[in-house]
Amino acid sequence: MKEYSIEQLDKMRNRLLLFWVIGWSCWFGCTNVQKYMDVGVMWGILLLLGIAGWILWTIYLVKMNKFNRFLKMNPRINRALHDELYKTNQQKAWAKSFFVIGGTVLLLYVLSHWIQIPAKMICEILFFQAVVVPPVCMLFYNRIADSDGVPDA
Amino acid sequence: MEFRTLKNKIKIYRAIHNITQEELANQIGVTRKTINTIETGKFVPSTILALRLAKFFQIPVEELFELEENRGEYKD
Repeated sequence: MKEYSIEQLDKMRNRLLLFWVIGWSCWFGCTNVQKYMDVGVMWGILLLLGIAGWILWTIYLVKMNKFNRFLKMNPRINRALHDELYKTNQQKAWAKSFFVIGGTVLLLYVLSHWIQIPAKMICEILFFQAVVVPPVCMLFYNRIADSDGVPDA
Repeated sequence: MEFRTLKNKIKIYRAIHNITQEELANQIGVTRKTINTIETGKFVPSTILALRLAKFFQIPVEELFELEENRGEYKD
């Protein structure tokens, strides 16, 4: 890996996470929409989007692993990138995800009084959320931390 | 009950030492984002990080950080 500053690596990490989430959302989301909804002519588009999502997800999964390996070999950079703010944001992201998933469970429970929802579909919705919500919250908190726009005074 | 917030003089000491947030972050071993959020009061650092910052500027920690009192008062 080339020489990067911590600032560049931090931005790179966010970008990796963002594209990984986009890829996974497209792949898993499209596959399930196809499976459970009558999509008609949209079927082909969803299939292509799903495949594109899977390719994106695989590429960024490999890149993320490479990035993590690089961090393991550089403990000083690893410590800087996993500093207090990062850990605090991570905890906040987990807490938010807990409430989002809890809310979804409640919503599905209420809906199940009127409509029959297959157990497999519920599992897939919750699995989708469990994977997507924590990184999305993390990206959101990282964005807030960076939103001041005072890079250097 | 008194509510207190943490005020800091990082920006002032950065100016005195003529270093950027990124340079300070590299010296302390955190990201620039962390320095930025501490400076703007969005994030309260741990004692360890506060001490590391104070050590870097070679000043006592209470010179760098202080409690801002009487920001709001809660009445029963």
